[in-house]
Amino acid sequence: MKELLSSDKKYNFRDFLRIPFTVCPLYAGIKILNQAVVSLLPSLQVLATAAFIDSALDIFAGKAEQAAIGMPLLCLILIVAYNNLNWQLMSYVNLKMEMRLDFVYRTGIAQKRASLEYRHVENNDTWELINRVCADPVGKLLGGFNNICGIANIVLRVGSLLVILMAQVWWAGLAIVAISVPLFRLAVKSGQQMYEENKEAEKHRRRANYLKSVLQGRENVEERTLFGYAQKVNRQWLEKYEAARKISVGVSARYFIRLKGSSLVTVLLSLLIISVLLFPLQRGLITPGMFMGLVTSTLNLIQMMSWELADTMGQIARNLEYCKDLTAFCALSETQGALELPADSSEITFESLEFSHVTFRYPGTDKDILSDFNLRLECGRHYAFVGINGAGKTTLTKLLTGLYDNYEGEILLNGRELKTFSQAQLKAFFSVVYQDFARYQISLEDNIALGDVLHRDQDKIRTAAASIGLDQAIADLPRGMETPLGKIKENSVDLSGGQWQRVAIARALYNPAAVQILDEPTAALDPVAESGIYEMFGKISAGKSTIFITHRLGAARLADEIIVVDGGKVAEKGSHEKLLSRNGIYASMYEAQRSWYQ
Amino acid sequence: MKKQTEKKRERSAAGALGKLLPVMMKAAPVLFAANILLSVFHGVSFGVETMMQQRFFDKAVDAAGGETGILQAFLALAFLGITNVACQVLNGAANFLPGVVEGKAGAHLSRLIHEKIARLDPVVFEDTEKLDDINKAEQGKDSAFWYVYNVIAILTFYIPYFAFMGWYLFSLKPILASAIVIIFLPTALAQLLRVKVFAHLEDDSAPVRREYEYYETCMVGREYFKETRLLGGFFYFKKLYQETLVCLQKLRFKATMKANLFELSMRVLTVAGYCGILWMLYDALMKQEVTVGAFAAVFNSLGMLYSIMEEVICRHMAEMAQNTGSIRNYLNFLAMEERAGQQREAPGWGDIVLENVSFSYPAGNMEGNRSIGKSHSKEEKHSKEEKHSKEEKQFKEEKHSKEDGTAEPVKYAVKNVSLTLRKGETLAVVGENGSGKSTLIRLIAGLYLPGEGSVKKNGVDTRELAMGALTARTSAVFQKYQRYQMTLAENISISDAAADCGKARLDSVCEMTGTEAGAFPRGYETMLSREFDGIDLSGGQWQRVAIARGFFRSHDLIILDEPTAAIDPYEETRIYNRFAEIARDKSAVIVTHRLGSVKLADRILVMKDGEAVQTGTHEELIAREGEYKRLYEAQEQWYSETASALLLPLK
Repeated sequence: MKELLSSDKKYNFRDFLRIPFTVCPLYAGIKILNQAVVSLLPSLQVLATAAFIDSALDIFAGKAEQAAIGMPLLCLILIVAYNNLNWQLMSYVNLKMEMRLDFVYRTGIAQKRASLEYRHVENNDTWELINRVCADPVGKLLGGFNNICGIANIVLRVGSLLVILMAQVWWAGLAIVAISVPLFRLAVKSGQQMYEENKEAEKHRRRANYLKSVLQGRENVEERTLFGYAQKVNRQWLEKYEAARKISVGVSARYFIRLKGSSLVTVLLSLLIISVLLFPLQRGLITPGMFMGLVTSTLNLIQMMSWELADTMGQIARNLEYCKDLTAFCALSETQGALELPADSSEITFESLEFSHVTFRYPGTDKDILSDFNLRLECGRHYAFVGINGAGKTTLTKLLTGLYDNYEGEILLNGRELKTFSQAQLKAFFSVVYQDFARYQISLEDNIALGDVLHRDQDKIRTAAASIGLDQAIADLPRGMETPLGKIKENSVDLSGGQWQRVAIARALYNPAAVQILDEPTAALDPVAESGIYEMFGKISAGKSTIFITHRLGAARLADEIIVVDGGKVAEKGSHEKLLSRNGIYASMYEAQRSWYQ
Repeated sequence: MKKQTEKKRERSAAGALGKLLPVMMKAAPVLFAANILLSVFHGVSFGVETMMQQRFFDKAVDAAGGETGILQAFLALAFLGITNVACQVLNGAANFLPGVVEGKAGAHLSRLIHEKIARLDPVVFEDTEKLDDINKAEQGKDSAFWYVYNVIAILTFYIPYFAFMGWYLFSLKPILASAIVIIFLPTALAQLLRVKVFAHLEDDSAPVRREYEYYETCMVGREYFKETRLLGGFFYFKKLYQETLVCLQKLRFKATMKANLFELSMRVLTVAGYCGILWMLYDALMKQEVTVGAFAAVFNSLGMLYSIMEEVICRHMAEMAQNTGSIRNYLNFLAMEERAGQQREAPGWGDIVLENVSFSYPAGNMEGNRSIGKSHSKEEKHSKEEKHSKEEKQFKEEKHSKEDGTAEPVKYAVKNVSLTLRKGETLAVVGENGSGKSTLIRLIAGLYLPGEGSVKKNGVDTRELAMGALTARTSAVFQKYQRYQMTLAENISISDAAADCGKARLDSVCEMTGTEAGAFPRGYETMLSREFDGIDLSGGQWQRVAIARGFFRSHDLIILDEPTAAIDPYEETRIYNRFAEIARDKSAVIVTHRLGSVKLADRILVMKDGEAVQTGTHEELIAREGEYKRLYEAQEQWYSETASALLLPLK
């Protein structure tokens, strides 16, 4: 796989051949061979038709036996048969090739994607790139492969017809070459130009489509109805739609003019060649059969110079764009050991965690999220991180779990710099229930078991589920813990939002990691329910080290120590009572919140 | 709720044509006519080309044999050339025009859809079946266009072409005309069988494919990325991914091979037909019934005859058959009932009186509490429906017969609520999740009409008012507020199309909600969307913009549906205080489950299971045993000093 996707390679058109040939050389070879045969068929058909007609004329003239026509007729039939059957015969090869690529190439792309540094996932530009490359990668690869076959096909077809033509009238071939080279180039250029112009139209179209979703979507039916903005937005939509449409009509008009312009040039050239051929025909230098064959072949050129050439060349720009994307995607940096399994947590003990002068900003931004952050956490205690939105609480978890490591200062885990730990070790140290925790649509049991991929213990899973109050939900499921959750599989059952939350928390409870972090997984709940969940979690994980992240202070009181994060620094810390008596940020936040409940 | 029984609106394809054709002709009449004319010439030109080729070949052979002069051959060549040129020009124009017509007709049809949606009753968006029609209307519009277009193309291009070729072949030798039938039969037969076989095959692999793609998402999707990584779950999902891939490939292989065998046998039939025609031509040639030129020209045109026949049957007709479903969605959508109200003049500002109001969501929607998620995928709807049918069994005893005789369970989101919101009063609505708060405010706002009972605004029944009149001078900030990918100014002023969007007015609402336009890179003109080259806002910032939007609209009644969940407590306090200030001389409704905020209200309404269980001031309610007191005490414990004992076991 490494050879297929390499980070310092510039991908180009050749790779559309190279990758399939590396993954499945036999199938790719057969496909190319078949393409070659198919592209020679028109020329063979010209020759067979010529032989057939000449034999027929000979028979009429009494110069040959009736049987002389048998051979050309058989050839014609074989050509017709191969022409009609080859696609179906090849479909086995096509399918095998696609399947093989799905298995190797698509999986490889997915693996590369899963190993990427997390910043690429959070950055919208690279994320768009990633999505572009990873959407139907095999389809795009084969698109390029077929594009190359298509170009080769046209070249071979034109070339073989030229050979036949030149054997009769040497300069006709040269004339066709002289005219078709610029036509080829025109087709390539117009394909690229169309691609560019369409991009311009695409901007307007995207805007129009967005406005359309405002006008039609279900999620804004209330505001749309109450505010009555449909008419106004409809006007804006029409404006954008028309802008895109006018560009498109222009593009398409120019496309057709170029397309048919080329055809007309080819028609005139063909007429010239045909009219010149009439003289040798009259003088008996070429047979009527050969004459008809040549006429047919020059006329066929017209067809080819029209749609096929334009289509094939038009695809080049798109495929080149994919090469560019693929190059950029492969060059994205990976996290070493991103996919590793967690280390065995029984061999790991957590003693302390210390932030020392940690300053951090997200790549590509200029705002310090943490600046000179200092804090020491000890084993076996419950901590709560509180602070207003954007204070940097969630960023801390991203640093701890190794998603970002471009911080300044030191983070010392058991006195050793965090960056010197492997991903596997970090995975064994920390478990996080995120605000946007994953709802894995697999069985409930597997959902919890993912908390500890190294050991599976059904009793412990059951205990974790029961301790967070999932036993009733399990009893209600048709197949108990084995019931697939969500909507993906047949017979699966979807849980309510609150139940999903409990599943995520049960997963954390089953996780043997030394430090357990809850990053506001309960934000969607009302404050009472949230506090309830935190309380339950705290009780269950007594003796472990836990970090609660919340901006609702009622729940923060559960912790041994509360850390108020403000402006990227530790503003205050201490127990609830101590912080209240300090009359600082915590006290005023607490008062503000309390007033809403009392 | 439903005044008339819902009849199944099945429409025939022919009916669709009758309805759609006039609309499209109206959108671009000249182009449409030009298109038809071109199409006929285009179709015939292909046939003429074959004929001209034959003439030319004949003359050329004659010239070679010395029977006629070479001049005649040149003349025939000139005709062939003219036909070829004409054919190319017509081909270009005939392929260019449909796109243009589609663009124009598309604008017209989409506008009709948008206008229609604006006139619909908002509650139809809660009806899964109708929502399906709405969601597919846009796609249906495209299908409808191409449906009409295909019918026209068949009539004006394909039939003239085959008619001409038939006539031409007949004129060469009558039996040759049967070639058209020989070409038609296997193609049509193949298509007929293909629809039966293929449709069935796709169904088998679809669920496995969905599963396979889902496991990929678990490995690399944004929403799973950090968690799967931290858990070390990659290989777990990779295993599932590859296992389902193997399974999927087996299914696909089996299906494709079966389909291919079938296609191959159909192809053999085609080749046999081809050979049959070739034999007829050969026979005619040998008996010297047709000329050598005719043989060559007809033989050359066979490929074209086959490919055009395939085009019309396998592409156009198949497309028409496939699209009937979405065309039906479109027609159903167009026939959908609109909000009826007659009175167009807004009632003045006054009391709002609810009398015994009950409301239930349409069948197919399980709960009044709607999902916040943006996407409403097919699967989601599907599972909702399934759940619903389970629900039906459970609530069997509650079933009662409707007018149309079908039994359905009725689950009221709001049940028998009577209430008067006095002019200028601030009312707080409290209650647990799912107690019917959000539905109630939609009834007060006039977005929904009551199923039973009545809502009167200043004495006028909401049923009698047209939508515009009903919502005039009413504003709201919904829980599910929108994040418009528009500029800051547009995001705020979108709530009031009639109002002036002067800076002063924007400034005043922004100040009120703590949105500092000055802090945005391009002030009010800042685009609030990364996708359209603007900036992203945080959840809290968005919420403030949404509140500013609500205040921007000129109103006598404003509704706030818990709009501050993502704002930190400082900001929240400030916004509620400002809100109370503004609402002082207006009518206002606040929905919240933070009971502290109800102190701003003149009166509190407590909802439970869709019913209004208590009303009164905070002091009155807290003095009585009941739902309010229960809710209040549950919340208070987390913030009271005396309740610390509860927390002790942890320490």
